[in-house]
Amino acid sequence: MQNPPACQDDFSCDEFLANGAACAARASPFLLRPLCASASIIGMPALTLENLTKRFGGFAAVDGVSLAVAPGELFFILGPSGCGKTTLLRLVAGFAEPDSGRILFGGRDITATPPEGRNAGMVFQNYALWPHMTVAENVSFGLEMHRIPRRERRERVEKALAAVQMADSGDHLPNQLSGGQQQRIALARALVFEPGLVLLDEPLSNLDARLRVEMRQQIKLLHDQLGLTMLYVTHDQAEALSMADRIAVMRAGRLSQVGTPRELYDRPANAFIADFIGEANLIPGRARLRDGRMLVETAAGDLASTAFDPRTGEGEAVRCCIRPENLRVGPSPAAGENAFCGALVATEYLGSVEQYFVSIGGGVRLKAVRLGRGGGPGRGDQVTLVCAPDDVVVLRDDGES
Amino acid sequence: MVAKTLRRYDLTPQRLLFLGLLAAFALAFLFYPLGFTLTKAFWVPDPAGGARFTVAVFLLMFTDPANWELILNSINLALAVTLLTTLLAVPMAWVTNRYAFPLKGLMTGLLLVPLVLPPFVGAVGMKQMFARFGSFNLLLVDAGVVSQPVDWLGGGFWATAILEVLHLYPILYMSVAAALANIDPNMEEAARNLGASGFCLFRRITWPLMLPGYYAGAVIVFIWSLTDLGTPLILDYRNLIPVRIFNMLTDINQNPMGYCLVVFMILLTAGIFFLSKIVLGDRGYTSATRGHVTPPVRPAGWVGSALILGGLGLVTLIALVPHISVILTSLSRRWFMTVLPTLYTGAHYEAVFRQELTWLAINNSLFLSALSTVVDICLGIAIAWLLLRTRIPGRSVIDTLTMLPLAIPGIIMAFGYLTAFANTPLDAAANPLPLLVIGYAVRRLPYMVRAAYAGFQQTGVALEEAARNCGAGPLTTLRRITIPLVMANLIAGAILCFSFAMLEVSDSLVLAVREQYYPVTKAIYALFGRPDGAFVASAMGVLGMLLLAASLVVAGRFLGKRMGELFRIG
Repeated sequence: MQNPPACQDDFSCDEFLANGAACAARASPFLLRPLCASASIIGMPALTLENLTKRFGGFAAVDGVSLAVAPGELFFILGPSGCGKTTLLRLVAGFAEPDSGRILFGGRDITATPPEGRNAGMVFQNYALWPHMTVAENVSFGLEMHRIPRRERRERVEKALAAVQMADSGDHLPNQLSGGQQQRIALARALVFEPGLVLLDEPLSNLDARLRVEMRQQIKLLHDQLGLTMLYVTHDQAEALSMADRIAVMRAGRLSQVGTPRELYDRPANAFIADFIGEANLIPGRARLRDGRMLVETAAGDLASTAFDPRTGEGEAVRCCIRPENLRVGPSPAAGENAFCGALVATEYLGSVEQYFVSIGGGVRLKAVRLGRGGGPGRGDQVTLVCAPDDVVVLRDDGES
Repeated sequence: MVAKTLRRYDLTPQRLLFLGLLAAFALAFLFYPLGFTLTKAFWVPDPAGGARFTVAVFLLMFTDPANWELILNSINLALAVTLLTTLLAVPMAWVTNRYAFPLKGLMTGLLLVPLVLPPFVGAVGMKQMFARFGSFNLLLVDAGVVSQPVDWLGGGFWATAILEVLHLYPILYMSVAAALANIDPNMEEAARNLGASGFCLFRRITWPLMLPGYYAGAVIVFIWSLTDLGTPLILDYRNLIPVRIFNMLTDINQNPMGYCLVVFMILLTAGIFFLSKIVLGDRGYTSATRGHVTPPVRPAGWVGSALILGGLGLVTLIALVPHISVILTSLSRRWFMTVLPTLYTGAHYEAVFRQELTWLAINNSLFLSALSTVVDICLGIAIAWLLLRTRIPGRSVIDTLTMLPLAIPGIIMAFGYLTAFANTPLDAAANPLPLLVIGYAVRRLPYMVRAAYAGFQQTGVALEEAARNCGAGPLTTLRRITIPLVMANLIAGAILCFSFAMLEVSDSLVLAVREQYYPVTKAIYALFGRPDGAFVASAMGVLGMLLLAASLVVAGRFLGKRMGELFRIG
């Protein structure tokens, strides 16, 4: 298989639009026409949700969600179970009807279009392969429905199966395949008819850990090679961080924050995001503005920060988010800005890294991470934790936490 | 606004039309005949012309000693049958659910064999075997056990009861076995962990958990035996409500008592269902929602296996006596005052295909059953699909409506059809075929809906959604994905519908008045009344038995363990 130039890892919406033409011109290994070109006019999002709401009884599963997914983007909806992310995906697929709001595919309003008219391939959580059809028949079904002639169907099924490394299994029945293999077939079935949008509903949740990582790379590769626009729903933050162009974190039916993985991790918008994505020390305090910087008064002392929302008011109750790996562990005593002395109360050895739990007074306990090479301080030792003001993110209380 | 409401409830014009037709059908062939019977029972013709309302005739039913005896007899019979069936079926279901023993598959299969013989056909054979000078008495006299032949059949009460028990215990057995299989083993394990064991464990945990399943089966058995017409008719036991109703059909216009008896039966069955709803409430313990439940089966050991096999074998053997006697009768050339026939012949089978009465009857039955099965397939798929896959309003009403024919005894439906459609284009006296098709279809519709429903339930919605997602419209999805996936269930349901229609008793006996329209069962009944007709009748019965046996085996292959669910009410 030839390898067309892959998209950049960190590629956001704007960057894509600049590279749109390049992306559209990519030769795809098994699709007969490049997808990006068919997706839309340059500049038009592949998928737009406008104020989408879906209620079940009085409960709003999806509550006024708006977002735009650029053509060729691998867009993640990430959230804990019950946050409404699967409902959102089902609204996009057309299996449920929104109570209000609009859904647009490349500028075309498809809110009232039945699922079969949407041209959006979906990978189901339990694969939903038809047990009475062979693998080839499963994959071929979508082509049949799109009135592709028999000869071309066979060719495209072969290519699709080859693309997911299942070239020899066309005559098998789905039940004869392992979970990972079924997953690949489900993927091939969703991609083969060149959908304008690919929807993935927790596609890897039924696989074991090792296979999950492998499939992660495979899906990412397919996405990059084919220039697919993907909407990917998961509760697994590692999946989202490792694969996504952009992530929308969903909580209780609403979008909490939308951004690149790096943005979400480095600059979480609120305590929920900070805690949900990666690990975080959250220290409550009061905001004090000093010379364009912020000094947060906490029970353990003042914390200087340069990462804060300028609208934060003087004396406002805030929380400081410090990632464990941004805390440097040093011998005690040390003084200076953002340096805290304390007793090492517990350590956890995790192989590659070692975690330290340090009590720094005022009832505050911080977690720090250090590479697990050994030779560090032991339990009961006095240590100093230091972090740069840029790594202290001040989170305003948005009433959500 | 209206459009939005319609969309919320998934109401497309086609679905509205179908629901309208369904309602019209139910009105015409379910409620109209019942309502007609009701009015006839309470509005008696006035000598001055017209009709006036009175409960006098209805009350007369309870004050007239002859009628009162009928009522008591019928209820006693139903109670006796239910009790005996329980004593047989519950221990057997428990034993087969809990123990592994040799030949288990074969034995549990054989337990279901009695279903293949309509008990009124069995009655034909039993008369031969247990008559005053029948095989059994002669055997006893020969062996010197008794000196005088014993009157086994007696007044007919116990003979009727036992024949019905032998036919019905498989239904209760399947129902109870399914309920037992659905009990989460953790429930009992938790009780044992807390110190319960043996009978206490059964009484406090197992029995309450399986009660809904038991009750569902027991209600069928009770109502079945309460309303069975064929068996007592053949055994000539006339002191039962269904027989009296049947005999009153000829002068129904002069005597409204027939209507009153039917109304009483309707009230009784409705009351029993109402009671079962109250008693059970919403105790639907479908606790086994976990993916995989391994039943706590343990080996029975040598002594245990011997006991179990002996018990099951004895029940099967006794249950097979009517079958054996029917087969013997159908093959015997001469059978008089001897234990076994003295001469055997295949001539009776030949006669089945040569005599005009029987040949016509077979053709009639094949035609009627095939047509009613087609109706059931179409209705069953549509109804099950609407119930499971849409949000149309009144789904529970539709569900209840389609299950209603299970609860309404055949004799009542047939009676209603015959009287309510007299002197209309559907008059059964002129040509009973349309009403027979409708009657067969309505009576067996619950099986088809259940079968299709189970199929749709097994196939996840995601499989259909995947097809829609690939660009298939609703009809293509139904044709290419849904129907093929539930095909096994549909075939099984259709086979059951067909074979039960072939051997339908009440509708056939009541509605088919003229010989040229006789279905198989009516022909058997008619033959039985003729001298030497019992032989040909038995031959026909054996053929029916073979058909039903083959059908059940094939249907069982397709349905697997879900077979038992088809026979449940509620």
